[in-house]
Amino acid sequence: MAALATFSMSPVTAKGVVDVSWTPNVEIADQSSKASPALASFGRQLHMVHLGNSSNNIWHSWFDGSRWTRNVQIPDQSSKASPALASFGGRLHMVHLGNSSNNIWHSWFDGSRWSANFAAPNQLSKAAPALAAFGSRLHMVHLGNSSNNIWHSTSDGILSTVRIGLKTLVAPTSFSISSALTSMRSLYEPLGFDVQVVDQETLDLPALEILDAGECVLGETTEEQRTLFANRDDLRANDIAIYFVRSTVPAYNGCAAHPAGIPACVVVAGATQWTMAHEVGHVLGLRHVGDSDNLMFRGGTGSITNLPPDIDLGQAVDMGKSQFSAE
Amino acid sequence: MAVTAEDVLVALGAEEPDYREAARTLGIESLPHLALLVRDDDEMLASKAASLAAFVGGSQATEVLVAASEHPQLSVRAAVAHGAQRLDPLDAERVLTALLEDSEPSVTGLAIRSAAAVGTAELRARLTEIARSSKSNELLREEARRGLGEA
Repeated sequence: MAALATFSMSPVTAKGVVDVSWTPNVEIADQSSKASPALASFGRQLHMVHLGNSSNNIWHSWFDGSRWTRNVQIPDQSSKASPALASFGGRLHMVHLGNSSNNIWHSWFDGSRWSANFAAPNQLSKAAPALAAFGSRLHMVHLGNSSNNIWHSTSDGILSTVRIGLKTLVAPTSFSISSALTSMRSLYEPLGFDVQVVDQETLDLPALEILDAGECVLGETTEEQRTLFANRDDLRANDIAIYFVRSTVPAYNGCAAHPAGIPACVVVAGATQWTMAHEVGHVLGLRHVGDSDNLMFRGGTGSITNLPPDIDLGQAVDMGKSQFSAE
Repeated sequence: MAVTAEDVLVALGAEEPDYREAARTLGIESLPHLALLVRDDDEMLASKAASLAAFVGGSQATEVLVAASEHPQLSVRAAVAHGAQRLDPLDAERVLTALLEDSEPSVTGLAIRSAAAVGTAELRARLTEIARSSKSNELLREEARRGLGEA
């Protein structure tokens, strides 16, 4: 006992409780929450997410070692219980319950913006989940939907996958397929979409190199489009086939009109490096918009004001709901 | 209000131009601009201009398409060959006559299909020549026979 009394790595109170030294607490200005906040180190900052003072909206701020940023509401994300945070795979991941449901939702922050949130399939909890990185996986524990049992699951941190097949009738002339793929990934991945090339082939179909695309209206296809899109090789039903052709008649940069249940689009040789991402956006359910900074700008990818183009979170949510993107 | 070159470029800049709507809103006033654009070195722009001219239609559009039919890029000539079927029969004849002898079989094939769709006596006579000629490649002969209802 004497040895213990003289060996003191930490101060010990008279009652024998370790008295870890904490600084005096300081109120974080203009930030309040109706439930417990969550905290995680990410990059060179300490990030916090929390609910609103009286709402289920989720707010985000960070501490750089000396001061907190102003908190910013994370768009389109709300929770009825405290969120949880963990840094993993170069991103800050958050899980939280639904606004009014026990569903568990997952999103990430890449250092500049939040992805859309995606429901973790078949996982429900009646209280706030907990999240941590361990080994090469992201681990989550949570209660049951109506029980106090504790459940555990892991994730590779990928929110949703877009599987594509690249089928070349005529190689592009104004961009390369690899640059179009890089461009597409640069837009899709920060929003949580892992773009996987699952098939790549050259097709010898000279009669379809100049493709009759009709008036390129959603749900309406020509006989030539249907003939071309029948060449899916080993693609699965929900994989998106992208066909590179010389041109279309009438002339389009690309066209995403495809038969129901056969996700496909064409991109012509003289298109832009963003056309492929634009056409796949259509296949995933996106419509044209008036914002000239957006990938889906109705004026075309060659007229986008500030490159790289944007995809907003509302569009990402729509893409995530598509049957052609899969968690 | 007069249609400006900018108006036309905005319509053609789209990834998937709505030609029917652009022809309705821009109309024949777009044709002087399209006449310049079909000569442009940018083959996408020239192709789209030709496609729009075909949707606008009329004798002035025919002149635009005749000019476009001489563009060195085959995608432009393809747009003309396909679009010609939208013209009045005699205008279509003017545009298609040269394209039925285009050096690129893909363009000739489109011209054959348009000629069959237009179906004037003159164009059917040309299809008959192609279908019978030993100088034509077999695929084009077959396309011409199909156009004549023989295949």
